[in-house]
Amino acid sequence: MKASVASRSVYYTLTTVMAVVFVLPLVWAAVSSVSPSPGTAQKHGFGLNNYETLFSYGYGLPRYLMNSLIISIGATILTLLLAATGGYAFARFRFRGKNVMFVLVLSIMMIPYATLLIPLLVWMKDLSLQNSLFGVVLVLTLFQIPFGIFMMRTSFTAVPRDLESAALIDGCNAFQAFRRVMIPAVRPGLITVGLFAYLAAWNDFMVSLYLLSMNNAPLPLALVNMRQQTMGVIDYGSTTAGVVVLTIPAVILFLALQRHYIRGFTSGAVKG
Amino acid sequence: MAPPTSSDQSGSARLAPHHDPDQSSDQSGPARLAPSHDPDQSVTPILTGTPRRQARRVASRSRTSRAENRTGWLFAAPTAILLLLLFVAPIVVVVVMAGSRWTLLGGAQGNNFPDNFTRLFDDPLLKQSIWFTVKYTALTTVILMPVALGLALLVQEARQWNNLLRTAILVPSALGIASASLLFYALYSPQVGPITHILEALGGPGGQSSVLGSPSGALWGTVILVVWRFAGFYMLLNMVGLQAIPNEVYEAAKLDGPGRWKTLTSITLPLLRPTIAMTMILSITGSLLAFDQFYILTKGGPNNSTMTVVQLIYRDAFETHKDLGMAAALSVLLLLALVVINTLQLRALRVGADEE
Repeated sequence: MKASVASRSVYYTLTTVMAVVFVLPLVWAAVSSVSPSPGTAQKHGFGLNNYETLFSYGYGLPRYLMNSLIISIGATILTLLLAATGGYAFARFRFRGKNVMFVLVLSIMMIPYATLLIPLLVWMKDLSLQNSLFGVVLVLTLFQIPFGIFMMRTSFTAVPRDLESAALIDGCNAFQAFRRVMIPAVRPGLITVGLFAYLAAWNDFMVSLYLLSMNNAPLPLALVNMRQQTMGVIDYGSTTAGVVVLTIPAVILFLALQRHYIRGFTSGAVKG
Repeated sequence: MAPPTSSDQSGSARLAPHHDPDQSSDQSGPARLAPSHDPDQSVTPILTGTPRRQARRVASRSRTSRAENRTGWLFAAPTAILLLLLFVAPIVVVVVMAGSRWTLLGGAQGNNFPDNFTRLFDDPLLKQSIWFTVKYTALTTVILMPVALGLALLVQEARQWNNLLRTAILVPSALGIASASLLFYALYSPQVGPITHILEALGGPGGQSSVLGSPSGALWGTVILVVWRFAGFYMLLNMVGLQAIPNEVYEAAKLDGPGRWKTLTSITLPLLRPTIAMTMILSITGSLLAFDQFYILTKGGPNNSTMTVVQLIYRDAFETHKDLGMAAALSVLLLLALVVINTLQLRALRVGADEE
C-alpha cells in the first residue's frame, strides 16, 4: 500500500482508538475490582476484599465454579461426541430417515431454546432431570448440534475416501477407521466445535436460570443473583470481581485457540 | 448377513457384527425396514462376487445399502435420540401446555383452549413488547452490520498490526452476554462506573441518575453493549466472505482505475452479498430473542419500556401471572413467528444466491 505518511498516521490513530474501545471495558473491570470504592468491600486502598466477599457468597465461589466447570466440560464432551458421529453419518452414509433428521437439525436453528424453556422446565421433571446439571448439559448440547453437525459434516466430506478405504483394507472395522483415521483428520473442525460448545456453556445464563436452583447454579446465574440479593443496595465491587473471574478463563481459552478457531471458521462451514 | 468385500464402497459397514449366526437378531435392526427375502443370506462370502452384487444393487435395495443404512444409523443414533428426547418432545409439550390451564404451582389442570391465547392478547404489554423487540432488532442490526463490515475491511490485510487489532476486537466475543451485561451494568452505574461522569462532563444529566434510568438511555445503553460484544464476531464472518472474493476480480478492476469507494460499492459489496445476508439473518434472529441483556441491565424497565417478547414469557411464567400455560402460548406464537421469519429470510438468501 502506497499511502502517504499523513494517511498512515490517521490510520494508526484511528485503529488504536478502536482497539482501546474494545479492550478498555475489560481492563476497567479488572482495575475497578481491586480499587477502593465506597459501598463495596474494598473501602480503602487497593486489595482483594471484593474477591473475598465473592468467595464466601451463598454456597461459595468454589461451588459455583465447580457447577460451571461440570456444565461446560460435560457439554463440550457430549457435543464433540455427537457432532463427530452425527457429522460422519451425514457425510458418509445413506440411511433411512436421513432427510427427516437433516430437517430436524435445521429446525433447531429456526426454533431456538428461548421458545422451548417453558416446556423443558416441565419435561425435565418427567425425565427426572429437575434441577440437574446433566439436564442442562443435554439442553446446551442440543443447541450446539446444528453448528457442530454442519461443521463436522463439512470437515469429514473434505477427507478423501481413500483414507478410510486404506484403513478398512488394513483390517480396521468401521468404528476403528472412524476413531483412528477420520478423527485425527478433522482435528481443526473438532477444536472449533469444542471451543464454541465450551464458551456457550461457560457463558450460559438463560438455560440455567430456567432449569436450576441456586445450589446447582453456575457462576453467571450466581452473580446475577448476588447482585439482586441485597435489597436496593447493589455491591458493584463483588459484581465486577465476579465478571473478572468469569472472563479470564474464557478469554485465555479464546486467545490460545484463536488460530485454530479462525482456521476452522475460514475452511468452510460458514461459507454458505 | 455376508461381510462386504473390501473393494466395496461402504466397506465401513463392517462395524456390524458380520458373522452373526442369529438371523432373527438381524431382523430387529434398522435394516428390518427393508424386506429381507434375501436368497443368499447363508452363502459364504467367497460366493458373493462383486458383479453379482452390482446386479443386485440395480435390482433395488441391495444388501450393501442395508448394511450402510445400519452403520449410518449407528453413527447417527446418539444425535437422533437427543433430538427426539429434548427437541421433538418439548415441541409437543409446549403445544399441549399452550392449550391447557397450567399454573406454576398447581401444575396441569386440563384443557382450556383458547383461554391462554385470549388472556395473552388482552395484555397490553404483548403489543408493547413486540413493538419494542422489533425496534431493538432494527436498531441493533442497522448499527452492527456496517460497523462489522467496516472493521473487516480495516483489518483484513494480514499484517502484524492488524493481527493485534483483530484480536483486540475479538476479545469481547469470548464473554457471555450475561457477563458482558453485568460489566456494563457496573460501567453505567453512577456509583462506580465512569460513564455517568463522562456524560456529565459532556453536558448530560449526571448526578445519581443512571444512564439506564430513562427509556431511551436503557435502549441505547443496551444497543451499545450488544454492538461491543458482537462486532468482533460479525467482523470475522465478514472477513471470511471477503477472503472468498478472488483477487483477480480486483486486479481486473484496477485496469479501469476506480477509486476506493467505487471499488467498494461496485465490486466488494455486490460480491459480499451472501455474507451480508447471512450476518443479517443471524443478527435479526438473535436480536428478536434478546433476553439476558435486558433481564440483567434493565429488568424490562423503566416502566416496562424495554420489555422484549422473550422476557414477557419469563414474566408471565414466574413473576406476574405465574402461569405456565400463558407462557407456553406465547412461546408457541414466538416459535411460529420465528419459523416464518427464518423461512422467508432463507428463501430471500437463496434467491439472492441464485442471482449471482
